[in-house]
Amino acid sequence: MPHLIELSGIKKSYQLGLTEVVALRGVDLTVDVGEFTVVTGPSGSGKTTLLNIIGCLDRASAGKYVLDGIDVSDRDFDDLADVRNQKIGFIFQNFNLIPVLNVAENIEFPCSVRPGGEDAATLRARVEKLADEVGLKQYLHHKPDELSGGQRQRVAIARALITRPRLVLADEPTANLDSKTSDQIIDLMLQLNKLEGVTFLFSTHDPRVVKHARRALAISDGQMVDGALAH
Amino acid sequence: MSSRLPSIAVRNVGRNRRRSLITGVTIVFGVAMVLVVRGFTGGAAKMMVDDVVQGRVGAIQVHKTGYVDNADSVPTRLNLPYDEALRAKMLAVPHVKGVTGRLTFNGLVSNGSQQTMFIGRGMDQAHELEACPKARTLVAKGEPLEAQDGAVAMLGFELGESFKVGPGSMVTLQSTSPGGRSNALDLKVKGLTTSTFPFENKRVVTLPLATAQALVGLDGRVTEYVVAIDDLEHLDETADTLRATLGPEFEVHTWRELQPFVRDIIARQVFVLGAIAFVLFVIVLTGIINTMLMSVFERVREIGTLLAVGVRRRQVMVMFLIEAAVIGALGGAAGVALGRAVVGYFGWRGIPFKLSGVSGSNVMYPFNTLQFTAAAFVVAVLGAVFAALWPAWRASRLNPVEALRS
Ligand SMILES: Nc1ncnc2c1ncn2[C@@H]1O[C@H](COP(=O)(O)OP(=O)(O)OP(=O)(O)O)[C@@H](O)[C@H]1O
Ligand SMILES: [Mg+2]
Repeated sequence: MPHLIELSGIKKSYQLGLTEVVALRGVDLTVDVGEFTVVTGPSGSGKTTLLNIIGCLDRASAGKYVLDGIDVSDRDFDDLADVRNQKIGFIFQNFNLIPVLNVAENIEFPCSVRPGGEDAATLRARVEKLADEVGLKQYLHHKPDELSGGQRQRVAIARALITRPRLVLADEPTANLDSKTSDQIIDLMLQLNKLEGVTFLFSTHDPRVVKHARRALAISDGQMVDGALAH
Repeated sequence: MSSRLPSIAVRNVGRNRRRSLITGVTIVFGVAMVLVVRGFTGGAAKMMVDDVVQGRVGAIQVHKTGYVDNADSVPTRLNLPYDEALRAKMLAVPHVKGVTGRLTFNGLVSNGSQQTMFIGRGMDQAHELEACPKARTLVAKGEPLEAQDGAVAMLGFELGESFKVGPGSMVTLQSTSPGGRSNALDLKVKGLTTSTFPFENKRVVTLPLATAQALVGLDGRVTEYVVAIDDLEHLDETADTLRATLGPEFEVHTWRELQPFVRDIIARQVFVLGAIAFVLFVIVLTGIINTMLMSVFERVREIGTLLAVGVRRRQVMVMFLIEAAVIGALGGAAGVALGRAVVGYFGWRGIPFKLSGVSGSNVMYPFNTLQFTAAAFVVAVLGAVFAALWPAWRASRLNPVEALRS
């Protein structure tokens, strides 16, 4: 079976005035379908940069990136928007729910911006099923500002899964949560990884979170570091 | 466009209530102001046109060909027979409501001690009101002319006041026939007339047609036919039909051609209105650009999220444009309601227009047409969308990575 993610020689640098900041210095990485992988590394090591490139939000300065058999290295913005919508679910550190939409509408949102799309009843049923799986069945009609941080992140997780993505990316999903809630969120992601068979890739600072992962990668100063543990 | 983005756009209007309200209020006042200014200038224009058309000139006048080009010399030699056959021919033209004949001439008027030039108007009282239904209401002092009146005259009120004459006084009118024979008549002043036009008040003497015909030696003749029509909408069309019906011996003019002064005042009002509307438009637009920009800056991370989950740049742009359109529509609707309420109130009450030194007065009724109201609303909506173009474009060009980092 081909890899879901295949990065080879990925470099990324930013131009800050006259100086060039190198964020990634040649990353090679493969991730297979169904994996639950965490990327760790100190602040500024390039975790976010890497996840942005994998998430097709940003483009590498050099190197090749094949996602699910598609070479996305040189796609234009609208193409990438489609790739993101079809293949990737996002979970953010700041939850980033849409404040004017209620829980059900937030979960459904990525599907509602698709051309065509499923029929309303099927979609509705799936929204309810996911809300149930993340433990928010009672909150379908609540607005984000009526929820706790942990609940908001659960909504975000359900939203990331609604499109049945091949890959869910989460950049420090627990950074804004207390440790108990963090554990619950990681447990939930693990459960969904089994239940829905979705590939998860997330980054964290938090060593407590790392131990839950089945595969842990370390990044330092823009390069993958050896000794990444595999459970 | 999916079904969800427009609904987000609409809900976003209510998000920063205070700011949407401030933007909304500028639109409300902009639209209301334009309607009020238009209502009042339109009312003033209508008052003037009514005064001209219904009180003085009529909608259309028919002369002997060549008359109007020489009207300054008051050429009584270019006269027409005044007979029922000709009147009937004009009355048969579609939209024509009434026809009367007048004899316009010039001469000297004196009160015994002073003497001055005047323009005389012999009026056929039997038909005058059919052609100029408001002629009667423009009497400042004394009584209007009646069909049975003989040796009487009405003076423009300023002429009357400078001569220190009023109802019951005697004046002497002097004039000459087209052939050059001069004549004079002593007439009793029956009243003073008033008009929105200073010239009418200073220079015009009105008298029964037969009296005028006797004074200038033109029995059974007039210099003009005055034609009333059912609706000024049909002005040009009716003038064309009359022209075709009467043939080349006659010339047909509309009030606009006969009173370019009034036409020009109205054109100037339209220009001033346009300038005011433009200034308001720019002010309101600037306000909307500002608020929409603030909204964009405030929602950078949210826009980043939308872009991340696959919303197209164009859709982000349309979303902000819809938000602006909703603000424009709400503000426009409230502005229309406010503007029409103000204009409606004054239109119902009427605004008396005091002309200096006149005891009688005209009443102005401000009004807005449905078309103008609808246009003001549409401009408010389109203007709001136009103003939002740039902020919306900026929102749509955000880099999702940067936007999510903020
Ligand atoms: N837009 C940018 N412009 C300039 N430099 C940038 C930009 N984004 C990231 N960098 C730099 O690239 C490097 C990697 O940043 P990145 O955000 O990927 O690190 P990170 O591992 O996610 O850090 P953290 O744990 O603090 O989130 C850093 O040196 C950072 O300053
Ligand atoms: Mg980071």
